[in-house]
Amino acid sequence: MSNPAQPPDRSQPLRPLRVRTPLENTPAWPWNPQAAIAAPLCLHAPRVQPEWVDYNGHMSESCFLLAFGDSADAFFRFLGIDEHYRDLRGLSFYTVQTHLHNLQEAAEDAPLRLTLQLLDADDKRMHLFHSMFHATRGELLATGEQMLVHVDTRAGRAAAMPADIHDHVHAVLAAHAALPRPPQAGASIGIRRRQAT
Amino acid sequence: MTEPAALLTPWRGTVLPAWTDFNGHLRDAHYMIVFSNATDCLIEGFGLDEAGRKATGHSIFTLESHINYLLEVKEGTPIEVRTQVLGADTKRLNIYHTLHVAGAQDTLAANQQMLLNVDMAGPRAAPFAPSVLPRVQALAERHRGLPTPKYAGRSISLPAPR
Repeated sequence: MSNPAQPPDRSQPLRPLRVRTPLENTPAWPWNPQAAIAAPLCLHAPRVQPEWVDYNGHMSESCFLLAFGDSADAFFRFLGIDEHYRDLRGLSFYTVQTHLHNLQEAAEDAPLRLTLQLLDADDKRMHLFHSMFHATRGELLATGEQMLVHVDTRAGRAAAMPADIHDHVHAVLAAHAALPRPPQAGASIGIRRRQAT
Repeated sequence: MTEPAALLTPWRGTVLPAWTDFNGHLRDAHYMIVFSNATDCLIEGFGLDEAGRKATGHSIFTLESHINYLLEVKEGTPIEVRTQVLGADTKRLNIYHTLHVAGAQDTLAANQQMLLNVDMAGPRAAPFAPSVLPRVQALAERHRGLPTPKYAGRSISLPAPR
């Protein structure tokens, strides 16, 4: 196979995709320090949208990530993070790494249930684990592991979370401490060959 | 040093407005669209375009994908994906994409993917079709001996406390 001199301009996605951020411009949810924190959290339950489906008739991997991103957006609002936090306080979380496992296919219009487990956190990072299930059949369809860094957007560098958000994050971490570590967490990619016997 | 000519550039394009966030930067989920498009173009080059998928009854599934986000990229920026094959066997392909401003050296993001050849009749994992396997092996052979890229084989964890 030769390296084409002029690779095709393929910026048009194979299926046009509109950005959907269901919670954009909705205010953060009020924090109730007395309320129990679900372990794991379940904050997002979309259906597979027609524009998420690829030529195989199944949800494409970028749309798994889109759904995990929307679930993370719901988690931000749960913690007290919204557009006000970003625009007036000049603070935000940036994703620095994502690791997806695609385990089962999801067909158009399938009901999904996403869960979110906080695996770890320090004063400026959150290590999240998303699981996507078929809402009625219960099968695990995909997982998404992410590292997020809290950023001072005006200074353009990582910065410790303010006390309120730090407290909320560490309350979630404590509530999730007893959850089992998912088998996909901490994985790296490689072809594992059977040992010769 | 990596010899750039050895790498493929399976995909070139532009950061579309629909892919950007409030700030006009490529959104994190949409890096995956760019890398998926690059994978689609790569496997088309192996003969698995729409006609090839129909003829063989095979398709390629992404089992795992790991993105390292390194730099922001703005709407309208001309971008390209360069691709190195890290390994292959008879049904799996381990690839490494990097995203760049067209023609530039800096890496904006890196993405490793494990691909699996699937016989859609099952669907089940199956060896690459006889028309496809030699092309996969030829590219894997061409890339053998290239240095392992910086963000390959990464896992995610907080740094150990100091």
